[in-house]
Amino acid sequence: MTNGQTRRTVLGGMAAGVGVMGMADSANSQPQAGGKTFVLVHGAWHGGWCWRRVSDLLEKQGHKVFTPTMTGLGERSHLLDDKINLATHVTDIVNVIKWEGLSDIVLVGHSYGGVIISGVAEQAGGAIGSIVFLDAFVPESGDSLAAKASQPVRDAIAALVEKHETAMKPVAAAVFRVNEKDRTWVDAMCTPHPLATLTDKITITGARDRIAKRAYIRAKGYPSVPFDSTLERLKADGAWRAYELPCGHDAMVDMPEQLTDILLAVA
Amino acid sequence: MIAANNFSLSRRAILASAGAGAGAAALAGGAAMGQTAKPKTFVLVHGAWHGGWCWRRVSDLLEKQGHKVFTPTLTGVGERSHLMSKDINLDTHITDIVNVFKWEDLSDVCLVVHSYGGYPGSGALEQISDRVSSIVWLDAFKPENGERLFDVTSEFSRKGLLAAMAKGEPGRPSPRAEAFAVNEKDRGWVDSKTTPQPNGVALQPIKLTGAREKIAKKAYIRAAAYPQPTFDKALAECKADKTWRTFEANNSGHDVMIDAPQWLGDVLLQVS
Repeated sequence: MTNGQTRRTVLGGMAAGVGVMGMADSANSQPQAGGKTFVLVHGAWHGGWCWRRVSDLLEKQGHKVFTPTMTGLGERSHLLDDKINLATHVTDIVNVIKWEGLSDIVLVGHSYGGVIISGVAEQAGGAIGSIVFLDAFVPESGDSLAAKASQPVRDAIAALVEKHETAMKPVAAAVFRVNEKDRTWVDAMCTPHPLATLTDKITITGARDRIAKRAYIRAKGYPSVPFDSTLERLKADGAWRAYELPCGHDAMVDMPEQLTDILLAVA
Repeated sequence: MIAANNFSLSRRAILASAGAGAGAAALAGGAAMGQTAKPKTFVLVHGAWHGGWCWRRVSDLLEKQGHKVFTPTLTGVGERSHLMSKDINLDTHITDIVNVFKWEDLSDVCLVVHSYGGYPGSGALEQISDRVSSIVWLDAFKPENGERLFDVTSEFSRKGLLAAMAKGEPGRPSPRAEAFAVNEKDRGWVDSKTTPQPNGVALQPIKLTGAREKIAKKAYIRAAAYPQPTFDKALAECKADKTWRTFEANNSGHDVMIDAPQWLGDVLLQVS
């Protein structure tokens, strides 16, 4: 597919999207001139809290930022139950776009959030101007995190499924190579992750790959075979921009300034 | 037109109730808006049938001046309407608010609650009053210990609740924006966003020990164009209590954040 074809497809998709999503939103205010709208989607065990440094930096420059916490996690951990599945989390994000009447957004997904934003693109592709995968899974249709994660995580998920558990306990910040100073804070904030969201298979039809601007950011300080191979694959794909940061998996915690610069460059 | 009218009238109302002096700079509008000293943190809690979406104009205005704004949507409504269930009660909504403070590690906050938000807001203050330095009750319920929203809400709301419960539904549909006297231009937008309100939150008596009243800075704002005897009573109580400041949003319907966002933003900066 050439760039020209991609762009036309996207524009067509966007026009359709505006018709649906923008319905009665003419009354809503838009970000100030030159301002962009960012929707930042956290990873497993995390919550909107992890983005605070990045959202502060973006807001200071006049951008509008949404950092929704997915159901059952962080500030929404009181809602944890065995009914939460992948569709719940995709809807958590799609609904922010719908109710806030957002368009031309920069949609960022961290880690597990890559599965979510791939699902969001299927339902709200017309509202997305750029999509960014931050040390994240970039699933194909039929993938689940349980099948695509590194071997230790896959084994842990399988064991929990066997025991009919509802949630998976957080992995220590040290394992994700979070900078030492912030590990206690990150460990205190992380909460059990609803298990079904990790085992559910995602259905995607290619909406993600029709978004005009696509980027992958690899946090190299965190050793991960799956993310390394995703980075190499997308580096070879002319339609994606690829970046590397010399920090732990939680790049928004470890290197917020550098990450913000990349997000603004991609947007 | 309505907004402009609102602004000038409202501005006079503020000047009258606040007196001249400190308020003047904050009230001068556009030009003076950038001159904020210390950035503040606001948590804005919506009312029944609404969601965080209703605060957008106000959050944009506050963020533009460097303040941090959180507009959580309560479980079961708006962007969280896919979570609607019979299990949602007042404790759920109280925890929705308390947890934002905990996970975002907020302190020195101005907590603003609209309408029904006065219930979960009062309940949340029992747990997080040490993190709140000012509160603003915006055309909101000011419950006493043991009260249920069901007992004090408007007649149409009570009827709707009983009808929904009789049908075994988890929530009751929203009244039209017109019923809240929302300005005509925005009614279509508001009607497209409002969602059913979970019944359970109105049926659980609230447990209060007075945390709300102990907050140092308290303000009550009444939307004059929306008739509601319970809010009139709350305004009268606050007027008679020297620890509360009171304001009246002249010409604004119940959704003051939609009808008069600029005016409201100015008041919030003044009282926080």
